[in-house]
Amino acid sequence: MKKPTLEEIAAMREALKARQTKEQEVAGQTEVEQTAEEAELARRDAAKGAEPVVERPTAPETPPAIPVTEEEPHPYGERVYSPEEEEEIYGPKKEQKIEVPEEPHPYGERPYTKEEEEEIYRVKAEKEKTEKDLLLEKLDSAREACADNLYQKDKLARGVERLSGWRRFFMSAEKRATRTAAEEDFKKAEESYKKSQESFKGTLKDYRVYLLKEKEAELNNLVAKRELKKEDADKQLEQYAKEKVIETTTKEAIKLFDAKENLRIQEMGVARKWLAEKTSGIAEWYRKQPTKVKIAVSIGLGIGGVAGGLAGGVPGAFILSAAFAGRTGMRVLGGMATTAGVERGMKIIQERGAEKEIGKEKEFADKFSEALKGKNDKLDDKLFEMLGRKGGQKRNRYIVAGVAGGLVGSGALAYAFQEAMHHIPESIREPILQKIGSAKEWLFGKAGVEAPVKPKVPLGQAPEMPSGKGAVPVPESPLAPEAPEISGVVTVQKGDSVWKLLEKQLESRGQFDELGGNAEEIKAAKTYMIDALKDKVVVDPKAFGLTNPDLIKPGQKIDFSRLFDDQQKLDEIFNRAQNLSESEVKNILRPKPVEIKMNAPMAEPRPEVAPEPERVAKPEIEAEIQVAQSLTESPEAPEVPEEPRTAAIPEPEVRTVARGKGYVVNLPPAPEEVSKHFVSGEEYEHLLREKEGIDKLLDESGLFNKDALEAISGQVDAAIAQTINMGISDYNLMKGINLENFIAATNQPTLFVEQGFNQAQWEPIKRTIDEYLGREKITEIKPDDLKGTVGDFFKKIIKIDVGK
Amino acid sequence: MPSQNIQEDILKELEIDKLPPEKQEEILTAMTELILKRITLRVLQNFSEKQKEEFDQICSGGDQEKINQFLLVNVPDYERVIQEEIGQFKNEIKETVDALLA
Repeated sequence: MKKPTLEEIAAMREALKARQTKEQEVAGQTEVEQTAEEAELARRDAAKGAEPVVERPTAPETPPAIPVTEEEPHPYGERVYSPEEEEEIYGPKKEQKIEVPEEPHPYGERPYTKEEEEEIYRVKAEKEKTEKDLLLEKLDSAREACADNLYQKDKLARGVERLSGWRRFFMSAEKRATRTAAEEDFKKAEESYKKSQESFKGTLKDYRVYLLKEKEAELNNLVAKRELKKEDADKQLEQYAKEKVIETTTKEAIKLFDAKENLRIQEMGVARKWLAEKTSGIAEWYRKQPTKVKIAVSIGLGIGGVAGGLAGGVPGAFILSAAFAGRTGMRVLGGMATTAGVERGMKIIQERGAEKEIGKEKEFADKFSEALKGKNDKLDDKLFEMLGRKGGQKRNRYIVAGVAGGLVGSGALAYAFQEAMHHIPESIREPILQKIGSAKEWLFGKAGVEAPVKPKVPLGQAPEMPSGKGAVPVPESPLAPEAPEISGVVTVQKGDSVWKLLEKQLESRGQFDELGGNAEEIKAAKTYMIDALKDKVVVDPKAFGLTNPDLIKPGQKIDFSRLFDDQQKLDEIFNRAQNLSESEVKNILRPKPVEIKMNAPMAEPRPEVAPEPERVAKPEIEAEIQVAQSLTESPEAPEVPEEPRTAAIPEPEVRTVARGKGYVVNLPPAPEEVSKHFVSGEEYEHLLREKEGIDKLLDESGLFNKDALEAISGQVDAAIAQTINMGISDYNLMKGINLENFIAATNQPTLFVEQGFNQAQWEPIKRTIDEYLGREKITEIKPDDLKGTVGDFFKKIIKIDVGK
Repeated sequence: MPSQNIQEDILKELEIDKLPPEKQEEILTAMTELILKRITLRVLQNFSEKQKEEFDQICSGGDQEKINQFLLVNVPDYERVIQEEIGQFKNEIKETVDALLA
């Protein structure tokens, strides 16, 4: 296409102006005159050869004017240009301040290779990084460099040390040269380390400044909104700054050392994989512990607070071996957790500073140390001598917190604690126990303060305090003193099942206390443990006094002792539960679709009974059921439904529900026997609406009157609740539950408990559903049948006497 | 020789006790995790292949007493080593924190 002449260009400009004017008229806008500044910018840009880019907020977007001096005629006549023609005339469109266009594909429009994709996303991610991201990246790099230099410096320092001392007098000239070279290398490494440390400090400071500015902006915002006073904001900022300095510095120091340790492992040669596994295994073990155990480990190692002045030698060894064994919580730490809890409690008491509390604590501590010393004739005097130097309250805290093998292992500590408590008047004992909080449970079990318990190992056998002269024997019995015995023999109550009874046993024995991890992991671990124990009952029910573990009766005795006597097996189950994989956790917690099958002869058709105007009270009905069932000849008459096994294994189980006679006596008759007085909940609702008159339910706007509809729905629900002999408030709680979820939860009743529902609320619903299924001879429920809520389902199945 | 002062409350030494409780706990657990890794490394780093195999076997049995006995026998001055490592860590971390704050 030929280049336009000057005349043509002038003509184009005229046409363009005319078009602009027309567009502005349509838009109802007036042309914005260029300000002096804009004109200057345009002039400068024109001088540079670029089109002026001027923001005209109200002017429509148009191609920029061509800076020509003579008008030229329109080359293509008076018509609308195509984009190509416009580009030909005006040149390529210059950048305008409009929305940023997407970046062109760097490799053209074709499928990317994996490397290209990674590069594109990397570049994109780089551009999207915030200032904070960049600072953190810089900090990471600086820290890694510092760690590397630190490691090299330490390594060379060790090398120099090996070549130093008395050895140098026997060195050959060659060796001396090696030593000199090593010293020089070390100096260089030291310099490198100092430089990298300075860089690390600088980056850390920049990061802190950023955090401070962020906080300042946040506080200024609150001040601007008058939600905070200026002076309070200043104080908060100062406090924040102080805390951030401490927090960031300490955390970075820890990360620095962590990085250094990782480098150390990397340089271990062939051993590195094994060592890396072991160290990360230990870290993983620690992370999974409940918080109180973590704190106890910290204190036991002599990190978190005073720990008997022994700085973690004996307890450290103990903790390490327990970690390798994969044992957790109380069963590992025993007295460690006890003393940690007590120590914290004592610290809290001391720090409170209230006179009467100090008085209580002092009295307690005095009695405690007296009882301890008195009871332990053979306790190393060295301990007391050492502790005596600490003086006063601190000495007593040392004693109370004494993480010493003998004290812990023998149970003397706990014994002394209990002794001391018994000497303290009741009025001040309880506040002390309250302040110590969970330590009380660890010492006494959940039953509360008990009579002093004899130590497991005679105190005379308490090991010596570590003196550095030899290995210190490990305490024989590291467990906390015996809590009150939990009997393995249980008597079945109404509503019990083998599952529930096992759950109660595990709970009472504190087995769940030690589970660590997040809420889901703990839940799954509990389910796993109960299931594992129930499996043992199912395999050999006679060993537990059962004929059929799915059928237990109120008053029946079950002996679970053998399950809890085998500590090793229990530990194995516990350890396995504590180490479930992510997929195992998900599988266990996933509600299983229920396939309900009949395993007993169909219930006989219910005899026709006239609907009773007044419902029999529940206890009488239950008594009736029990009497009826005690007379039944069917061995499959259920007292309590089976608590099905929750999958610790992937394959879902089919839930079977046995049927019997007279399970619920007050459910209205079967559909075929319905008299004209009985209608379903849905029909009843329809009748009520008709009775109210559909018109009356329409409000002025022509929509249904919500209040009136709700009132009708409430009436129907009340009728259903009365029919199944449930309180309306309980029914209202349950009716909204998704039906499928409800049925799945009947396989795992603890879910109800977790949602805050008690048995009186969900069991009538479950019984009604069971009865309906039996009456209708439904052997299988398909997933499609489980749509909607419990309330929706009951409106379909429950027959209501609507009267004449 | 580790400074006796550092055997005292490291949290106080580093002024971590001035932080809100949740931050204290964060730092404490981070420190503890690191110390556990360090003492593990120190204790196990010199094991021969045979010792490693034996150790793995005992660990898989889950018997804490056996593990402890094995470590006592195979790691010279086992408990002192741990104590030393912990003390050293506390000193180093204190020095590093001071250096970073200087």
